[in-house]
Amino acid sequence: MDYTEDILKYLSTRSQFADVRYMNSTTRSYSYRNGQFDGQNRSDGSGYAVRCVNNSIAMSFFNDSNFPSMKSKLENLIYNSRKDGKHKIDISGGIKTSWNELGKKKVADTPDSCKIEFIKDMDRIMGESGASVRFTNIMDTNVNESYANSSGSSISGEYSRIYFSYMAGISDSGSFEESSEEYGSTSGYEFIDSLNFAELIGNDIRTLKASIHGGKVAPGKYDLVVGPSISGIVAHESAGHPMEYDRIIGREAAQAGGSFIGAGREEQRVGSMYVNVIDDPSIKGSFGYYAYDDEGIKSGKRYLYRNGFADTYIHNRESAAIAGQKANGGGRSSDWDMEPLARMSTTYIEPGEQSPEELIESVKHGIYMKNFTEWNIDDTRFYEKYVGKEAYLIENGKITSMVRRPVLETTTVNFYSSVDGSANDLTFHAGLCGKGDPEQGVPVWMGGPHIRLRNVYMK
Amino acid sequence: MEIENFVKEVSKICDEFTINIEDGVTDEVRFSQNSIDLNNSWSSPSYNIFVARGKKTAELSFESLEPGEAQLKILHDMLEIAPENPDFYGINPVKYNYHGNQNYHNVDLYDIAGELIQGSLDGGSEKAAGLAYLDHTRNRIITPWNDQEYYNSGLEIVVRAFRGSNSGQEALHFGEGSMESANPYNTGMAAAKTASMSDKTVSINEGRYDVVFSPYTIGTVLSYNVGFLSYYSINAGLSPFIGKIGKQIASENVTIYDDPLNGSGVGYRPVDEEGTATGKLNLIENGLLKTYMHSYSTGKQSGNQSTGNAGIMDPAPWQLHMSPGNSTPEDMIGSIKSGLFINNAWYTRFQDESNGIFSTVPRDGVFLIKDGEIAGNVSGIRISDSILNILKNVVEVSREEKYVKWWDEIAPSIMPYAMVKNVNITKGF
Repeated sequence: MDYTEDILKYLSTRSQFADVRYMNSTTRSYSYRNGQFDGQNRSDGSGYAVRCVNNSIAMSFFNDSNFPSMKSKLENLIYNSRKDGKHKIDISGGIKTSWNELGKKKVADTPDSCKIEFIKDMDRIMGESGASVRFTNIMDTNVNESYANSSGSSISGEYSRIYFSYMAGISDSGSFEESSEEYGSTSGYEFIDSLNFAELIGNDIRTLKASIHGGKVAPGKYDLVVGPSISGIVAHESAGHPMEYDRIIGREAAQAGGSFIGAGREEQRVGSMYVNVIDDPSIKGSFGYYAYDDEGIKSGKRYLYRNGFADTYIHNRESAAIAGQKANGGGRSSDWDMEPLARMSTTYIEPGEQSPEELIESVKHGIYMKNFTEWNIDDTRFYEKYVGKEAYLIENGKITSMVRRPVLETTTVNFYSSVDGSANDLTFHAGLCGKGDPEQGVPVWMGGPHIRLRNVYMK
Repeated sequence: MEIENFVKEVSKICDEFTINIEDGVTDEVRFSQNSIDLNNSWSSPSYNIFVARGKKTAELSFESLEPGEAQLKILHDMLEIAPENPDFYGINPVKYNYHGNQNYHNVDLYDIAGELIQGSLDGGSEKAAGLAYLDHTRNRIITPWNDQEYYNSGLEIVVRAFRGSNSGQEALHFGEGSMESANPYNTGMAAAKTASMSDKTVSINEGRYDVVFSPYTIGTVLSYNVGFLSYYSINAGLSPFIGKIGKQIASENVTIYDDPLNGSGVGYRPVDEEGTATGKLNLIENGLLKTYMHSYSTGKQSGNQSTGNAGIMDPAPWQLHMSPGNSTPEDMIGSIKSGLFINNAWYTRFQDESNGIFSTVPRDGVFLIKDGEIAGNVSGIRISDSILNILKNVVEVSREEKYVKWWDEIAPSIMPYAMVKNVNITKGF
């Protein structure tokens, strides 16, 4: 039985604004390791996330099965919301709709045996390609969600997500290299059919093996061409995160940190005129896809950086009200018992017109870093590091010898200011983005084309 | 369905099982810019059930007031489709008796948040952000051989104090045995003191430095690396500690043990996930690697005993404790001609887990030390090194230790200050 209306009615005369989200999710996960089945897990979660706003904002998470037992929790919620604190929130409402994205090959219709057979097959391919350490995992999630608020919104959504990841380690000549990759989609299992994983994984491991014999980069200035997985992680880490407005106002300062971009600094220059970075939750099939966010706000495309300048912040209801703006569909919770935070979904560098080959042709002395292993960034999202996984020297416009673990350690503004060209091959990679306390990992895509940077320091 | 009946029904569909039940209330108050952001309150029972039929295994977690037929059918169906898991060697059949904590302490989280903010402001900061958690949990572990219950109370406080572009942070935890000793005002003051250690900003070159790691910095480094001492990692072939039992893997100044019976921390855990009584477990003793962490299954697989660290398939520590030494952080800083003091770090990522090679990003108080004194704030640097190098180069450990836990970066642990020689520091260009 759904108690959303009862909860809202109870809070209507006791709050300035209230909303109720009910979520029911099932996640199934299967793993293989080094040629053998490594276990299966299932997680079922369901419950109410109730938010009450008076002198401050309070949330309560419970899954009682009858309304009378909820009342003491609602009373406690109201009591806490009357304490002093921040209480600005975008109270927009009036939306009544529903949406779903379950794909064609629905999770419910896909036998467990198919999923297990798939990861077993991927493990075999990894082994045949030379990986001695092998982990594979496939996971699917089905979510039913309803949202209602005291401003008249009532929205329901249903979706499924598919996630596949692997880690491979190779030992050769006394050295070790490893690779981890993630793939995901908001869809059914047709996503797994849409990619040639056997070829992707086989190629990844064979180049990993070759990279062990690559030379070291002589430290110095190079032109650098990076592949889509690097432009994607850069878009996520140093455009998406610093444009989350809750970070900018310090809401995450004691955990994920702040932002080098300040409040009211939309006109701040962050890079060259070639830099456009977008966050768009409405891309169908993307891992972070949603039609309406977890606060009942319609999703849509936003330019985070436009022509090298900071442009549009990512907002949830709370951060938007503090900024004096409207929520723009960035309110996401990783599970039923988590508060909605200002989050990314699909963040990408806008592609250009050239081919990747054309970008490389104009490089006399450079490095092509196709993808990465280790990476991290400081909590203001300004100082970042990416270590190359598959990388080569470029000499006179041609890709030549392989180099091992080249390091780009730079700043966000240096990176984006050095960009002078983007290719036309926009590609997305999946990931789980962490933020909040308790930490919430939400599914995202990170994307971009090959891009070229001039005169950056590599080591 | 009553839990006793549910247990009977579970036992009919499998050979072995563990049922872990957590029931309680958790409250959180978050604050930033010196005022309250939000109160979160959670109250729902959660179940984690592991079942095995021969070498077929399945794990189900769910939140519900009572488990029932639906969960039984799910477990049955999962076992039906499961391939054999060759690395599963059973659940511990030994019967244990123990007594867990049963005392609750209550505190007002709004008062605590207010004291964290006020202490921070009185200590010289301009603004503070952070949180306080209070957790009361009843835990019950049921297996075919054990049915055990214990209670946990825990308080966590986190405050980051800002002074201009500089900051300092404290993140402490208190178990039932120490909750009354929490002093949030002084904790706020301490964070502000770190933020105020220097108003000067300096730049450094890349290179090897002698570094004073705060309890938070050593805590995050060990939290990210201790999984390599799980037999799961050893068996998978992905650990820098493979084949190193009985070998000197750290300087003789390093003793690290799991400390689950220390009720002064939130990592208090008298029994593991399969009903095995826990106890102090020396992992590294004066630099020697003593043991990997085991469940009954991984112990049996490798010819060892359980160390009380189940996770049945992937053993893990409950409350890591690095033994204190004889030094003080002041003495360490005073003894360094040219080095660094790093108060915290985050975003640890590996490029080579087989050799433990990683980097992590210092934050919340990063200082150059010149001629034994703090000479300025440093930004934009990384610790880019390996766990083996860091452990081997610990030259001093402090008497003072802190109960540290922060976000998902530092697991509940008890850590001293440590001085580490020749740490590789890199920076961006």
